[in-house]
Amino acid sequence: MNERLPSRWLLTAMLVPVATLVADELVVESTLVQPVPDDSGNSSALVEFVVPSSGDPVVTTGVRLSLRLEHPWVGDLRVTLRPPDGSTELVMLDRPGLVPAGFPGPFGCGGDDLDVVFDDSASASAQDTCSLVASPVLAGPLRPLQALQSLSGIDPEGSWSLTVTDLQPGDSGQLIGASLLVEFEIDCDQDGLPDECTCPGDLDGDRVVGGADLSGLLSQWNGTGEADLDANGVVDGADLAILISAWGSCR
Amino acid sequence: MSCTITLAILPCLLQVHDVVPKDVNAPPGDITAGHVVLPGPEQSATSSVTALLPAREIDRFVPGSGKSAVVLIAKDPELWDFSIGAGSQPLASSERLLDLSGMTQSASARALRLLEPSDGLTSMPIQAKAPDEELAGWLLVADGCEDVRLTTHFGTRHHAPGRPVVLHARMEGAHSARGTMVLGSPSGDSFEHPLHPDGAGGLIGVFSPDEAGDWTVRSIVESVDHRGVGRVRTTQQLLRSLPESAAPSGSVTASQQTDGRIEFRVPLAVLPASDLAAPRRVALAFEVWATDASGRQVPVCWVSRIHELPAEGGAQHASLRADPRWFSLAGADPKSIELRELRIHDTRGFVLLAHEPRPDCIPVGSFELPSPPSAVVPSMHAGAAPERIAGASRASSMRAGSPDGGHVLLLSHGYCTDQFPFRTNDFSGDFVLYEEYGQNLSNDEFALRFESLGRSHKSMGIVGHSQAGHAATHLYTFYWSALDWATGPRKIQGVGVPWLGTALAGNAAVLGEVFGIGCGEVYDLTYDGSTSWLSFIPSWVRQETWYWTTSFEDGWFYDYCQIVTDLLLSDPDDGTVEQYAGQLAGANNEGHKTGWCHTRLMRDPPQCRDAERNVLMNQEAAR
Repeated sequence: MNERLPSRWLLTAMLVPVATLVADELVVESTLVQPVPDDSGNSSALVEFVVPSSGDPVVTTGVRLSLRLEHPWVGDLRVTLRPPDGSTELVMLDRPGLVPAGFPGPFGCGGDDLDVVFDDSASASAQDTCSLVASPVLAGPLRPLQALQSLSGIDPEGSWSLTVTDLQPGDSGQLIGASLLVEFEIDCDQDGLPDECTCPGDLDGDRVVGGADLSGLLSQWNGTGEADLDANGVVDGADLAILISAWGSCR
Repeated sequence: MSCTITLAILPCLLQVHDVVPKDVNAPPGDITAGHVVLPGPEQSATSSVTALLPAREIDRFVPGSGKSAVVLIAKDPELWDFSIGAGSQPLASSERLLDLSGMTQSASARALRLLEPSDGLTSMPIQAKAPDEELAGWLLVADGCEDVRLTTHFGTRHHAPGRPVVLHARMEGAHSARGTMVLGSPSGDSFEHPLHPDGAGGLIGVFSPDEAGDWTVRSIVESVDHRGVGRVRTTQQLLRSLPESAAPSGSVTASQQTDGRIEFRVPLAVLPASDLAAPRRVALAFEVWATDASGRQVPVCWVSRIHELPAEGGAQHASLRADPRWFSLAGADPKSIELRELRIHDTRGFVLLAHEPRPDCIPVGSFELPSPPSAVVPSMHAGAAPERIAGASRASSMRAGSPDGGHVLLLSHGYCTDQFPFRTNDFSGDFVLYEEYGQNLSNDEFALRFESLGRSHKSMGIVGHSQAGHAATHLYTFYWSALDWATGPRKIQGVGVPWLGTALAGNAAVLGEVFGIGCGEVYDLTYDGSTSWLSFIPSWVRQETWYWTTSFEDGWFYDYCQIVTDLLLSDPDDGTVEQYAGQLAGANNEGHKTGWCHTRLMRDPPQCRDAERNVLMNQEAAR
């Protein structure tokens, strides 16, 4: 049996994103600095996170987004994350502190900067956190405005889009860095739910039943071992038939 | 640099229910320094070296070596037969006709000033004959003997209807012969009461205001100076008598909230509102004391908050909160909490409604204190900014209410003006003007105007003239607003601000009874009103405040800004604010400059037209 659950990729946006597969994590890192133009309308800071194909059918089980921004009035900002399937744009932050009257007021939270991890399990809400004295005003783990949990079940492979937009005149800033953390599990039957894959004959665990597996079986012929696919105590013709019938990529 | 001027147009009815009051905390040093201690009423006494009397009540005076003048205040004074000196040969004098529209509705002034000093012994007749005997006229007489001074004050700051008020009067430089106080009730009636010797060289009088509202109190004291010459002095004061709309009704409880703050619940007995049109707001405050590790009672902090009274009255409670770090810093045990000097003031003039020197306080539950910070941090001053205000719905798609909503400097005029005082050419960048001419607002109402204006902007610094200085500091003390978000060297800058009040407020009220008052009585600017209000302004607000005073250029003859007001104020003054009363302890005094007066139509140019100062204020302003 091939056990690879759970798995995790860590991707960090870069000027030229580079994916590195390290054990169970995929890391993309960047030193990208992008302007967040003042009251930009359609012009926003945009980061693309590219999650490469792992070769296996996988499903997203959790997402966290880290973001570092310099901006003198975080109440101007709207931050969204769009997953690769393009289906749903999730709003992480939308002019935090914005109330029609009172405090912080109709222009939102006036604090400086943001160094936050959007995380559904955080105790405080990013939208409601504001302080006159804290800097960065939004810091540490904070709940996003729309739960990242709603991304569970999608295929993480492809391009994720992070957008930071300034919606109010008067202040501008810059995006210093961002990273996306996707938790995923194998979804062999591709029903959007994690499951365990069985792939009889894949003796070397490369998710392909091929010549190497056949060689492995033959090397154990009339003996015992993992090539005893029908578990009758001996590697024989019945095991060979199982391997041949599964020939090719695992599903 | 772009320059934006926005003129503020304010709604007639200001909705104030959605403002967010601060949990005001002040360090224990503010208690020991007296910043947040209500001074005794003698500390805001009114003094005078002149007499203001109906023209029919005075027909001569004895001028001395100082500033001697007689001013006729009347409607169309130029039509009066008015002179000083012996009938056919009036004494040489300088005559001026003066506008008094800032003080009265219909009166002007005609001033006669002696050109030469006199010997202080020779009696001089005053002729003041009206063209029509029905016409009222008042004389303001300065006899130039400035060492003879009348000082009056009330015996208490607690002036509820039915509660007796004691008036103390003392004459310096002369022996008091007799005195009278003349009271003007809010409904226009007049009462006269004698003043009696108090056994200590002064005079005392008692009256009981039986009607709520503003009373005028004229004290008239006749005396004999050391040369045997009779001298008359008067003071004119305003007394605001308000029902005790809220009073403590039991023990205060203290408990720790989930966020760590210490909440004090003050039970209140609230009278139903008699006037449903206006929201009633009171300011509560008390000192927090507790026992430290050595068993000594030590001041922990001072706590205050604005509280709105429900119209229906009844049993209520007010919640005030203290940061637990004050206890940590003081090394004090919250279980030993003792409250002192619980005060409730009506925000209309900061009239004292209730005072308990040692209210009962019961600690409830357990208390867990954080580690003491190394120093006081700003978040201890006004609590954590609330995440949301009650009833406010989130409006994520809402855009700003103004075209820019940027970071601005608010320039404001003061009480009762008809022109904008600052020369806007001296200011650059984004600024807005508060313009509401002819207004008469309490400091609280004025501050809420600023709060409302601030909602159109992300952040806002304030440069204010005169009472606008009060309003700015009041806003920063009591309410969350765009002013809190302003960044830069100076949040609040004030020019010609009567921090300690002005005698003109009382005098204008007295003259207003006769001639109609210009913009209405403004109790907040009396010595009593300002002093009471100032006892709520903590050091951290004062430290964010920069101010300037000015006065007339002291020439050989024109040693005043406005001759009428000069006779009612102590020199040096700017025509409205005495230099001493323009001081704000604990704030940043940017100095005193001569050659500039409070407003236009005075001897020297108006202080807000000083380009040098304006450019500096613009440069240093937080926005």
